[in-house]
Amino acid sequence: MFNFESFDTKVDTEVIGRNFIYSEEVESTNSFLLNKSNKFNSEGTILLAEKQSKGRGRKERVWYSAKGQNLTFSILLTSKKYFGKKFNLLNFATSLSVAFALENLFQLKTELKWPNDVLVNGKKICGILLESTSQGNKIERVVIGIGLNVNQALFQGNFNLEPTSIKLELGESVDREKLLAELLNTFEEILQKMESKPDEIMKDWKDRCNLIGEKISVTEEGNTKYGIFEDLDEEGFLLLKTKNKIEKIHFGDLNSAQ
Amino acid sequence: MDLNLIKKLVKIVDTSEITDLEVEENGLRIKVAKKLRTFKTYEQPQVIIGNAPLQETQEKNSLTEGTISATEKPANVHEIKSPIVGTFYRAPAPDADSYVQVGDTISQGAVLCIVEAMKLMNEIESDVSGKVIKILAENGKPVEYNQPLFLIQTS
Repeated sequence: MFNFESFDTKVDTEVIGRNFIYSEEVESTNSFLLNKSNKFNSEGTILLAEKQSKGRGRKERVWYSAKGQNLTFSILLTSKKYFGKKFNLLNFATSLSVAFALENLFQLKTELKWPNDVLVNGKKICGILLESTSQGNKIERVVIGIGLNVNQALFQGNFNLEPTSIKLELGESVDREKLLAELLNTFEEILQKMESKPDEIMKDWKDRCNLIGEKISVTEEGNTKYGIFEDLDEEGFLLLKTKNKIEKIHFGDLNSAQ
Repeated sequence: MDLNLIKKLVKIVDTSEITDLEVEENGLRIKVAKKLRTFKTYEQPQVIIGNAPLQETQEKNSLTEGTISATEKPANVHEIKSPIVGTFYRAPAPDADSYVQVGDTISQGAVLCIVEAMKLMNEIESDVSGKVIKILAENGKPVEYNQPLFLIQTS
């Protein structure tokens, strides 16, 4: 059971998480907040669920999380100031916030995988899925879904990338309330930097991305490309250097090809 | 609008010494002009067309860098454009049905497609009610910011 009072004494944000919804079980925290008919419209609204019956990643891949042990939640953003050309920096701002929180609270060494996975010791500790809706070409709302493995000690099944949790890395359970508060405090701070210092976000992000400069493969829709992970452009797209050109990659599953 | 006519005009301009060509037929004016680009060693054709079959022209490599402006789009045809750069998907998952087909009647707020960039899935809803008369982008292919995706005929 999530202790809201304990969380509330530690959270220090102005907007993010000030409207807080707690649920024992929902289908998907992202779907719930994205759905306008549920009438939650306040900027920074958080929906935290102990269990998602239809938790998912991109392209409806399933996200498994044991009930009550982790942090599975979504953040709603409706402010148009984030929806401009650098909209995609939200991917980097979010994953960087998770990395900072894990480093600050538990001194874990984190690694970031393009575009937004957070890894510890080469294993996935956090998955992020951003979803937005637009009417025509006007983006109306963005929901940032975060699945952070906290106190789950056992992961069964086949995974694209081996999972881990904070408990598995530290050998002990940690306080979810303190972690969520730290994460939201950090996220709000980084969000403010999106306008004033976007370069700083990208620099901090790239500092944690070990694959830059390496040979990689990028697989999307069964099609694999090989090249050197040259850099990220200012919008965060991956620049893949192949034989005679630099290609801008919108998305793909990345692997080292050393 | 005869697309082949535009292609022929572009070819004529592209392979000849002339820099621009203007044709008027049945009230539709088509102007094809070459513009010298400093970073390329050859001349790039620039296309300005009045009545816009935007997508077909953009799909042709020879035309992708031209300037295309629609000045005489019929009043009851509404364009849905992409709000972001990304990959265009007509269905929520690879094995799922498409959100809409050409000929479907849709109401405002109906989901038309997803454009994905990195791990950001943007669901695009129609901002008008009407009939889908054309789907201008190809499933699984990249689309640019503000690229037209659908033509909706409003009633």
